[in-house]
Amino acid sequence: MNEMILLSDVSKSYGKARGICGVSLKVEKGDIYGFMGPNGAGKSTTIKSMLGLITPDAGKIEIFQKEMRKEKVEILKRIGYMPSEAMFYTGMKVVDILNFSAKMRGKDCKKQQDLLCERLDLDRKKKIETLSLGNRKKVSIVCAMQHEPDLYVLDEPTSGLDPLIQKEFFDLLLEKQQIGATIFLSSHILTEVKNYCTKAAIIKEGCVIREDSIEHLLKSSVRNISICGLEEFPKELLDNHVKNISIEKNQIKFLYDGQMKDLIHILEAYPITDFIAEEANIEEVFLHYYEKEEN
Amino acid sequence: MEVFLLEMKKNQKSLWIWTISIAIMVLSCMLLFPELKEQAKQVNAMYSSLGSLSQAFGMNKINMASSMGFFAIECGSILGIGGALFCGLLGSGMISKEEHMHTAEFLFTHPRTRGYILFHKFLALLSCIILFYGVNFAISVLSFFIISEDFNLKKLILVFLMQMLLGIEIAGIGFGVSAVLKTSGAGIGIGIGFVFYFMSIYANITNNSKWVKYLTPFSYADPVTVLTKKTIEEGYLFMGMLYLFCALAFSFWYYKKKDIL
Repeated sequence: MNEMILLSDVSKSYGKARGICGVSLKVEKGDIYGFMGPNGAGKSTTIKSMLGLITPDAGKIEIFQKEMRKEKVEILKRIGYMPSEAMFYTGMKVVDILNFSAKMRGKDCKKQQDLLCERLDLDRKKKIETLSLGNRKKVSIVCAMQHEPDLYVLDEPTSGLDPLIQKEFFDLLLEKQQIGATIFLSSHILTEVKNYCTKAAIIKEGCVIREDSIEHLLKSSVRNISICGLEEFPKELLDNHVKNISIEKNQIKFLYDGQMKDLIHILEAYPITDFIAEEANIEEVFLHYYEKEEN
Repeated sequence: MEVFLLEMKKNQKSLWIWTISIAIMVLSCMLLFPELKEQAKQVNAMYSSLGSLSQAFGMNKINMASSMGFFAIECGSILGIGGALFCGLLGSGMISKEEHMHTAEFLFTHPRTRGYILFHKFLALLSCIILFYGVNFAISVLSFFIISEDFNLKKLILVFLMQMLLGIEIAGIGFGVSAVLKTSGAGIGIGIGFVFYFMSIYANITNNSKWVKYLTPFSYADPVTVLTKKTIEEGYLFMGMLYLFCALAFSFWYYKKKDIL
């Protein structure tokens, strides 16, 4: 049993507004787990439930095989969290924030702190209110990493970081993974998920619609279809399996994840002059899930 | 202790601005006394003949020509309302500012219970209040020496003790409200201070609504009351401490389960 995170049927609603419904996912030791979804899908609600900031209405949250409801403090000792909003107390210096965080964990993090600040090029003497978003994100990264946790929970970690620091950040994460850490990160950046994650889950409208290894997601059944010779999009194809329709000049393009024989059967009745079916790239696979369904 | 030290650091600017401002006002007021003493008789006659106004501020009960009487009326008002506003503001922002300033996600994801964090925030709140009244007490004593006037130290200590309890009660009620809020709470904090102050004025003027005295901490903390009555107003004080206890208990209970969005 090397499950680091296990969410079983977790639901949370805010009055009438839907939060998340029946979210289940599993993150194993050593995974770099990508958590993706459109804005408002429930990513933050899921993450905040995992950290004890929100109490779910139903379901079970287990981290390090301990229930979050019962052993929150013990669990939080071993987690490094990076919130999407990197907000800190004004009137304080970076070093004050970092030392406060270390003291709250009862750990001497000086060595790691020095190392991380050097690699991320973070000036500890600066006051928080003078920092740009990118630099505040760096403070957030150091706070999450300096105590060398077993699990990293990162909410959109690279937004606001310049490309050099992004690379440095992922290098750091990979190093941590090598020595046994597990990483859970939410991201909108598809290439990030493709390049660094071992597994991913996609959440949409409060439900996890797909959870799989990156390898399997890339080998998904989504195909990029191009048809020539038609002026209008075939009405029979306007169902759940079709996404991202674009009509240019003589060519109709769309993403299709249904059965190929069904598609061919429908198109037989049309005077198509050309038909191309290609494997969709990772961006198209995810966009396929991101887009709202056609009516 | 890290949370306590963090809160003390965060609030020190506000603490010293308020403390020094009130202290300067109290000192300046006391420095006027020697001049006013000359016209004592006329002042007393005038002040006690203002009908309801005299009653509202207790001017009909105490001798303004005495240094302690003057202190109770003039500085008592400054300290009373100034302390109430400062404590109301401090208390009502203590918890809510974390969500208002979006620092809650940083603070509450450390391995500490919410109760631990709230407890140390309250300790910091208490410390700020003690410092505020402590400094103002010292300045008040100093002012008596500067104007070379006699004063009753025991009574003065009692006045400040009651004022401090007023401050703690108001801050505690603000703390309880702060647990529910997601905004800065500044408006509510100031509102609490003013509402209690005007309740006391109202209770002083009317004869029919003496029950209002059980609602406001000014009933037991008003310097005129403390100086003119033989014993402290135990009934009002007990109610005040009861409200404080309920507000604090509520804040800990409510915040334990609150969703931090």
